[in-house]
Amino acid sequence: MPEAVIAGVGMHKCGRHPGKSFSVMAAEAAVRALDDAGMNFGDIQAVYASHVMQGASAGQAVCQHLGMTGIPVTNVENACASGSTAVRQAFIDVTYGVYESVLVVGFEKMRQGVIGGIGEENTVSAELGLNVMPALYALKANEHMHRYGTTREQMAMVAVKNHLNGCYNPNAHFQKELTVEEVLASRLICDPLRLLECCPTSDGAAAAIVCSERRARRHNPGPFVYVAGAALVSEIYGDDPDVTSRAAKIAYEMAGLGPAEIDLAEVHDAFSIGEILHYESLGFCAPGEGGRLVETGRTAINGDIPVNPSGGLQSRGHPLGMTGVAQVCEVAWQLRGQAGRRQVKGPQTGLTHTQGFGGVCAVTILKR
Amino acid sequence: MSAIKPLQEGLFHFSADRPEEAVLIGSRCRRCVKFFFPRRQICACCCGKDLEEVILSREGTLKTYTVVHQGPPGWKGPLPYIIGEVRLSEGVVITTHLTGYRPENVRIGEKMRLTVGVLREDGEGNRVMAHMFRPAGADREEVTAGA
Repeated sequence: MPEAVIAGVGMHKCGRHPGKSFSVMAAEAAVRALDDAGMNFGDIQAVYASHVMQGASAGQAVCQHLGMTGIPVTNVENACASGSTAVRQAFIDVTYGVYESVLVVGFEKMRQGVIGGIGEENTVSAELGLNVMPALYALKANEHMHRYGTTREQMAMVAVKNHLNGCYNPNAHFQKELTVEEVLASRLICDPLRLLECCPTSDGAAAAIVCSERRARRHNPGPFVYVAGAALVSEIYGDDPDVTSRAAKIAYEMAGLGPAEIDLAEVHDAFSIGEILHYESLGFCAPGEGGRLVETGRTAINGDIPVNPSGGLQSRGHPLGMTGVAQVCEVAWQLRGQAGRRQVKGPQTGLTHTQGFGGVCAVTILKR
Repeated sequence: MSAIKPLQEGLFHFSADRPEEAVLIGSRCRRCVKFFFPRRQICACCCGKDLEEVILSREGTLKTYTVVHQGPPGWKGPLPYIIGEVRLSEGVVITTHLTGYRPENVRIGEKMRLTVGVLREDGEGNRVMAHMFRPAGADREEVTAGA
């Protein structure tokens, strides 16, 4: 089977871009990825366009800016894991020889306010006011605090670390350092989660070109980043083992790697407690040790398992359909040694992880 | 006087003057002996269709909770509100509102008891009733006031 490579990546800066349409932002990200791969849109055989709330055929609108070549364009929606789902689909297509060159483009223009109003309307959950993302994570936060003694300060440290990292990422929504005190003084959204522990609502776009290695070499001498594994799961009844543990297990087995061999990770930190929970489910530490992992600096850029060197969802932002693709951009830049002041030292492998409403989770492993 | 109406038919049996006697309507899979709430037609574990309707136990243990200060877009109920996950002896976990006490008094691991309370008023002045849990020790007057 051909090996799938990330032949090129590109982003549109996250932030508030009221005067700019999603299709223009996404097309700019796609052009950067195509340039990075040494390709133009005429070299692309299929497109996966990931977004959650941009409406019908948004991917086709993006592609009309790039060239009207008649190729299949598929829109992908999987909540916060939409981008990762699109990347995985491109990986499958290339690995099984369906296509040799696929563009993945993820984008979103977000409304302000809590990420809510999600899920089916008029269900019992919606009527009870349960479909509020920070509330779902806050339930997990209080349980983790009660069971393991995880502290509010440790959760705040996730936001502090990721905002520091974001200062070095020109594509991040925020380039502003935070202190633990500032995080803990921000207003409560869903106790114990505070405003500065919740990702902002941002506009943004990211693109990646997934190719067979042979096809990529026609346009670009490399070196390339290889897709070593890509897993997608939904929830099992009782969520035990949880979605992240199950997706990680599949991706690790595909890649022939274990958590100790991952050199950096981009992890779903939509809410501070999420990153702590995911450390544990991804196998970076034992259950209950997640709070200490961040507190002791092990997940900082210069730690032994750097997590979210990009600034993560907390600082880069979380335009829903973009996120999984932006994570792949970051890991590709890191593995190619092109991450500038946020560069992790000499990574050979990297992992991306997104998890979303409705019990969806994706884990992708990349290697040099 | 305004009418009362349940959030949805088929969730619980109750009478307005005795909310503490409300019961939840669930399902039990005859094959894998798993319980579900709300009731369902197909077992989430074995995908079989051999389910029976059951009345679930009224008491459980508080697994976790949160106090929601910012509700979903368009939220019409009061703020803040407390939601919790209560594990019943059948193993099923119910996520819903907690009532009958102040947020700072919520304790994980506490014994909880089912009640039915007012979730909000609808556009016609009807009181929409939902299943909720209160601490098993709280007295009835406090629950009614809290709703």
